[in-house]
Amino acid sequence: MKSNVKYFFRKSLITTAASLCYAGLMFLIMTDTETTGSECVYTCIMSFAIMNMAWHIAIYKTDIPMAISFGSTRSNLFRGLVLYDVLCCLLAGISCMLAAVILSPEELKPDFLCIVLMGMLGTNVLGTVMGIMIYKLGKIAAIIWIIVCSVLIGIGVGFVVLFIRESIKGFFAVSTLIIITVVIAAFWIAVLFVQHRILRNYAL
Amino acid sequence: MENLILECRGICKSYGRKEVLKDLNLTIESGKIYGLIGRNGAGKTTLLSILTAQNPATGGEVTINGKPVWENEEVLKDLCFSREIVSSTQNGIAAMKVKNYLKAASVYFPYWDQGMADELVKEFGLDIKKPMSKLSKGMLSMVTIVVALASKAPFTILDEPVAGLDVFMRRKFYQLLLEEYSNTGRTFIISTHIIEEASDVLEEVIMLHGGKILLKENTQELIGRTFCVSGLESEVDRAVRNLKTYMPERTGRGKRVTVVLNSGEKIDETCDVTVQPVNLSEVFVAMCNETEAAYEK
Repeated sequence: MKSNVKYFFRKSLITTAASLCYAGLMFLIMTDTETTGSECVYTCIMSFAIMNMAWHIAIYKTDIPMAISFGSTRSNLFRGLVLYDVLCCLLAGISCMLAAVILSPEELKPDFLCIVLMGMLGTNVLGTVMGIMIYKLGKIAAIIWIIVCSVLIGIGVGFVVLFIRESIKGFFAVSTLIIITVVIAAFWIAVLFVQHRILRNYAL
Repeated sequence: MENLILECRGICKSYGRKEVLKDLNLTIESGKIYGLIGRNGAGKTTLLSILTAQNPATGGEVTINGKPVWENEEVLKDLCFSREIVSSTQNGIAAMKVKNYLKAASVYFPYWDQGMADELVKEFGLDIKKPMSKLSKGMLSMVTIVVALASKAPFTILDEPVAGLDVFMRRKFYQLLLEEYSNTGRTFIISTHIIEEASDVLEEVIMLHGGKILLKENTQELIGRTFCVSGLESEVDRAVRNLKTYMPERTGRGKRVTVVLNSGEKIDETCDVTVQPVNLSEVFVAMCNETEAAYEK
């Protein structure tokens, strides 16, 4: 377990650092146009999603086969992957919050935290599903999935935010966001069960 | 080194409808160098991957000192399976640099000897900054050898370690293997097609054919009881009557057979025949031919 903790902890730091650079690049592009601070943060969420999905491909193609070939148990590998997902989620969420504090402190409301959390959980779900798809369907299918999901995330986050902020106000906005977050978390837990089952039968 | 016994009982493996390993039983004692030989598609790599829990068996169990190997961290730390790296098919690993691959190995193998790894890299002249996809077949074999030897695992398995190596590097590998074996008493299982060269280092040979173990025996004892008998057909038949013969070949009035003697058996030396020793690869070919002929009947 120790070796997987060490390995995936390091990987989560690399992923977050790479995602921040990618998000930073997206932000620099966005600041040329007339965008709000919060819109830049949502762009960051999309950037994290793309980077997270790409790293999940790398994990399923490289890290999992390599770890098993070096004698890791599948259970430990699974725990390492969960650690990776949780750390990426937390680090990305903290980064987005910091970005919001710096760029648009006036946007910091309780629902904003929920949006960031929802975005992070959602991207991790997509990343995990991504990894499973690469295992099942291959690289081409995974690339198509990245393109489709990044478009859907970009549109979806925008629409959800618009809908919640414009249509539902105050208490209901927060509770709706909490429900959506819980649903995504439940979906993520279900995906983890599938991931564990696939890993269990992973053969080299 | 602790006395460990790696056992597999009733191992079966099927890929879809194709049965690759059939009710296979094998015991590997510690402190020996084993050779696993078999034809292409015999199931060598499948067996080795099941022994090291990299591939789930369809049936049966693998244990070390009675403890199951599958998903058992305590036991897996004593195993190292350094398999052939084919960079064209393993896209993810192919993109890695040699140094990162070795660094990952050092994370997962608890007995990893970094000093030995560095020495071997230097000895083989490996460029650790190169991606694996840019390495030749021989250099990829060197990487697997570095991982196997530096892992310091009590049971170390190498699948085709000399594939792509030139004769000079093959000799170097056998020399390093024997040095490591005499220094540590580790158990090595080597799967190879270059049987003759390896036969000098292999203490015991395991022949795998048709998903079953044909034999498992001390190499020198096996070679010592196997002979090629040649001469006139009538004389050869008289000399080897009641003995188990393999691969009969007829050339005009002459005949040549391979004989594997059991305990107490001997060739009738009063007959006018030539009896010559055979090498390990000839023994293997003879026994595989016999088995295939039996399957055809």
